[in-house]
Amino acid sequence: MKKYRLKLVVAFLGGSLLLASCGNNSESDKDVHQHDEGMANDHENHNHGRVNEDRELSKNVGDVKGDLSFILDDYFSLNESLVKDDASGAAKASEGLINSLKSLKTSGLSESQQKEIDEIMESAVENAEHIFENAENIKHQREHLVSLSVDIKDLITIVGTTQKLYEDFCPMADDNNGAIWISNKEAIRNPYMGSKMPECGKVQNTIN
Amino acid sequence: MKRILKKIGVALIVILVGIQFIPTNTNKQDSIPKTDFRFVYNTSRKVIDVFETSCYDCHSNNTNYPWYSNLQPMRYFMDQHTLKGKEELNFSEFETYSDRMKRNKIRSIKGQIEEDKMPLSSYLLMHPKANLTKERKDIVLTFLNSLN
Repeated sequence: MKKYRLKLVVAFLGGSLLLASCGNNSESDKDVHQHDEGMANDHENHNHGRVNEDRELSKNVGDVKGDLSFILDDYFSLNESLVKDDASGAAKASEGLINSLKSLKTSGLSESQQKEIDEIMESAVENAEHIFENAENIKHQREHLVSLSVDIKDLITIVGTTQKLYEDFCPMADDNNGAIWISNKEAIRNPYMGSKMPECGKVQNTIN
Repeated sequence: MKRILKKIGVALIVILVGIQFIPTNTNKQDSIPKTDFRFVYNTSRKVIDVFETSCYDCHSNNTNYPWYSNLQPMRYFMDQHTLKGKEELNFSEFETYSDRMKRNKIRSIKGQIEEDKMPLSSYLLMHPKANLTKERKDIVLTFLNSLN
């Protein structure tokens, strides 16, 4: 009897310890950290290849208050992944986008513009983080693309760009609430509907 | 064999007693801050009741601690939930979000509730009262939809 009771106690204690280790986050925290480092390196290389292109661009800068090309490239590749229903590709692209957003440098902004940029950044980074964290849930990624696209649009309005861009609208996106996205191609490639209806929507505005 | 088991048992008891000394966070506030969600929008008592019972434990500066919250490892999990929950959304500090962020948060709250993602099922196991019945869900969704 005594032995039996002891076993029971051991089983109980063992069980609760097991429970404790299941919820232990330290391991996954480490993973994320390593990931961050990899991300930063990637980004450096990523920037290198485009230095020349940048210089070209800065020659004809008029009202442009910062270089959005890295942010836009990552955003476009995020959209392209979603057009193809590729959630893990979208997560990867948004990882790059988080870095591009954080490394944006601007100049000549008024105080109120700077404040708005800060708010846009906070929101855009949060949206991109959700897309990054939901590589298994494309529906949730698309939900965050709705507000991310508004952030990107507002960012372009304030900072300016020399690229020719299109603001597209799909009335069926976001559970029929309708949503916009920004594209660098005139042809419609719908990131919200994906392969179901890749051409749904229309250009409602052109930039430059 | 018996001796080994006894040793293991003693070791486990020591660990279990030991973890009771893990420092805890207490997420408590005596009064409702001016920045609370209820003052940002025109919220009825009914609406705020639903939020308070179903969301505020993890998404505000004021958690209602059940009796077992004084025991480890339970408290550890609760602290982690509250930490993560508040980072994502804090009803107590809702006023401090920019208009853009407020819009995002409302959108996300709506989405999570519509899709029954929140409250977490693991939380509901221990807090059946927090369950969003169809009626309670309708109350908050009607309110959230009226904010657009």
